[in-house]
Amino acid sequence: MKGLFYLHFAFDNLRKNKRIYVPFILSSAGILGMLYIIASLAMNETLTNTLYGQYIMAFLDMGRDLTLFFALIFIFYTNSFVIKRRRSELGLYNILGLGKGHIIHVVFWENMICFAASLFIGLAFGFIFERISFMVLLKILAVEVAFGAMFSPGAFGYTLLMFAVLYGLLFAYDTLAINRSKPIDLLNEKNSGEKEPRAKWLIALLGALSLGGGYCLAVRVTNASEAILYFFPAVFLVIIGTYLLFTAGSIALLKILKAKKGYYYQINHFITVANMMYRMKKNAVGLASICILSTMILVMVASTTSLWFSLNTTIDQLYPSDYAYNSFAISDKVDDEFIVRLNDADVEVKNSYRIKMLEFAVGMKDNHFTTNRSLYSLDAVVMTLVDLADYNQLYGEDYRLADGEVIVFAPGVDLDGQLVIDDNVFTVKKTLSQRIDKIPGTVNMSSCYLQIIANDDTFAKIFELQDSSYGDNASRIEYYHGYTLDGEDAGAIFNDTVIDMAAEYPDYAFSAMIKSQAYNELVGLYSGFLFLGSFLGIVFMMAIVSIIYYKQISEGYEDQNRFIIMHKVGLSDSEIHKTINSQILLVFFAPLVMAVIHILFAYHMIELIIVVLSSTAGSLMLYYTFAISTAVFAVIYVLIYFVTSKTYYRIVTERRA
Amino acid sequence: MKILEVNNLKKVYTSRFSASTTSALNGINFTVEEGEFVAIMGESGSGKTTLLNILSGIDRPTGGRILLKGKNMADIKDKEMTEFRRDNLGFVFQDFNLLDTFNNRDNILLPLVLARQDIKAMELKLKKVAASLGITSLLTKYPFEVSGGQRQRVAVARAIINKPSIILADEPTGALDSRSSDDLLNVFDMINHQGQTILMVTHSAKAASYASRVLFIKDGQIFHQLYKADDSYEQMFERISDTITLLAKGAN
Repeated sequence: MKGLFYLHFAFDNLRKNKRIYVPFILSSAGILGMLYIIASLAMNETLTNTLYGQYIMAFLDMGRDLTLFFALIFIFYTNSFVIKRRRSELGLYNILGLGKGHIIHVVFWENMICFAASLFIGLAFGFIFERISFMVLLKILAVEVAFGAMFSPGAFGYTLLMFAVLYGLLFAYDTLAINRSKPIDLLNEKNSGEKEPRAKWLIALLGALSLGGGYCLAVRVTNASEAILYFFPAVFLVIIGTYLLFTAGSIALLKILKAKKGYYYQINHFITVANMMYRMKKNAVGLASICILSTMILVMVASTTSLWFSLNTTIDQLYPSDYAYNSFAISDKVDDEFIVRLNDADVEVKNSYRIKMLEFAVGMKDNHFTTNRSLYSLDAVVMTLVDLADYNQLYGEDYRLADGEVIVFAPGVDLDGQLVIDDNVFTVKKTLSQRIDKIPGTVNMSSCYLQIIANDDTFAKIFELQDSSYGDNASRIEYYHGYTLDGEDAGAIFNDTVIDMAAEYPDYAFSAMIKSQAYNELVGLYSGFLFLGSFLGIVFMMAIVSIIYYKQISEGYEDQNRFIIMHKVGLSDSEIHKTINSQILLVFFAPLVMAVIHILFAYHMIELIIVVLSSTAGSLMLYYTFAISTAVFAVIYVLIYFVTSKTYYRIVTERRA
Repeated sequence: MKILEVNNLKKVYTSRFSASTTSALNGINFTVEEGEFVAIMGESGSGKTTLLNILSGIDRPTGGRILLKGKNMADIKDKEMTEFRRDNLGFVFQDFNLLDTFNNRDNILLPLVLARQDIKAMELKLKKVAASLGITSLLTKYPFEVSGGQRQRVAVARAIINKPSIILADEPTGALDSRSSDDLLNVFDMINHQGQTILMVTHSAKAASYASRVLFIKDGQIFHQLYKADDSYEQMFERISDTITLLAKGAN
């Protein structure tokens, strides 16, 4: 009976505060639904059994953990808004004779109702969208699978358990907050003013330095290994810098504006600057979070989509022919035998070619190259040597080179007519404008790579050079054999043949490279990236929406009284409208603008990293994916802004006579 | 010269869902001369607040007319009303209505900023007003840092800095202790002597005794009025108290 009373009371409270609780329940339901979806996908056996199962599963597991972690932060964050808004109400109950135990009892039921509601709505949302996201994932993977029943009891159990724990923590936190509060403070809280925030110049300066440092790191990296090495330090610095600048820097800036009397005492600036000072004090952290989340969304979505879209180009670069094998030795006899074996297995060889090459790492300083560099050192560049005769034959050219002369393809390096390796000088006879695309491109850490065509003599000389310099770690001369095949099961037969031959001719060290196989692996990898990137993008977007919404209402309630006074003192409706607009614009577009600046600085670094994951094709796409995702994001952001600022305006003007 | 002229002012509230109407003002007539300090007294529900809201331009009457400096307020469009109020009226409220985001200085300057005045002119006016009200040392402080009486002085400074035709004060001593009330009333007295016209609505006989004329409202009509003439505050206070007693008796 008594429990029923509390339940009833709790229900009433939620209804009265529906402007706060409806979004709380919706955002909690949203993240619960997302967690259910990704948990369900991570447990899906159909996916495990697909070609790329291993990759996808790893990504989904990671995504599930990230979503859970994010759910924790997110729900606590929104809850802090909720509890802050309700403090004086709960304090009033306390004064009217409701003991703290009773209040906690009521809050317990409130939490239970929220939990039940978010579970219900979240799962409904989850059921609907898990099917869709599963289809999307399969579409990305280009896999055709018959759908089974979709509901996943395992994922349901997992989500239920995790959210029960989460709400348990939330209730514990609320209990603690209520126990610590004194009702008299709660009642007085509204009336006490607060001092204008002080400008913390040192912190602002620190923020600027941190941000500048992060930007510097991002801009100054010259190759992928540096980019990967410095990526997280740069991100860290930028995050710190963003938070410090939003909290201290914004106030310092407003102080400067306020000190300029000619600027400050103008109708358009006067109220805005003064109000902003207080707003920033309370909301800087939220705004910085919005900025960081926005940047993360843009980086994730843009880089994963650019990887995805560059898939085919990347594969073509890395695997110039459908079927290929490498060997360390050649003989026409063995080549012929290979073809005979394939033919015997009913596989027709439509085309084949062979090219002699040598790949090794050198260090690069300006336009001088030195051996004795590991591939993993920061200034490493991969040099690929190609035999002149093979090149001429393959490309139908008739280049002639004397000893010591080379033809190069060297994007991004100004060789100045000479190729200098250690102390050896080779004359550059010609510079190619196109990559030699019939040898496999290298995926490497460096921002540039060199392809060199040399005659037998020069080839041998360069080989000697690196051989003596690297000793046991020296590269060997390789022969790339590219094939175009036709026949049923050509891939498997080709693979088997290479394995058989490798066993029979150990000296040749045959190794097979099958394009379709590599394609499948990359599809798994890239689609994992893409799916996870978009999924987390949506989760973060939900967070942004609710942060913005709660900011608008909590600020609305705080500003309500101020605008009533201003109206009484003589501010017209249109002026109030203008003031509100310029404030909201400043507050909500500052994070977006900052995020775009972050992106601009990060672009170079991300480009370098993308090159490692996808060769140069991905980095070409990156420009477009960034532009498009930023534009789309900005549109969504503006929509959110319009919808939520309406609520703000309604709150601010609703109590006016 | 007549600053304010109120003729047969009526206000009838109609409930949206029933045919019943409530009459708040039943034909109010009075005038305020330039430089007068008029107090309006009446019990709760007598129509004081309605009258003040209409005079402030926040509410519109259902009948009668108001002339402020000869201009009919009914002719002022809603859009122009804010500007009209800003230029002609100064307000002092019971709960001060100072903005907590501004320091006292900026609170006082607000009407001038809204009127788009030059900063040099603003500072000159501020200096004069602050000195005459004795609040120069409070200017850099925030409203929450000073006492209620001081806050109300700041509010008065805000009301008079624009040199309005008339100051409308709504229970200005309502939130003050007796000493601060006295201080404030002396301030009113002082600015009135400097030529400022004041119309004050109040419950307090003490406050009203500072006025040069007191109007009593009952059931939406002017019931009585007292002139101070050459009376002392004490004598005025006596007469006001008697009238209030009379009013209360009449209610029975």
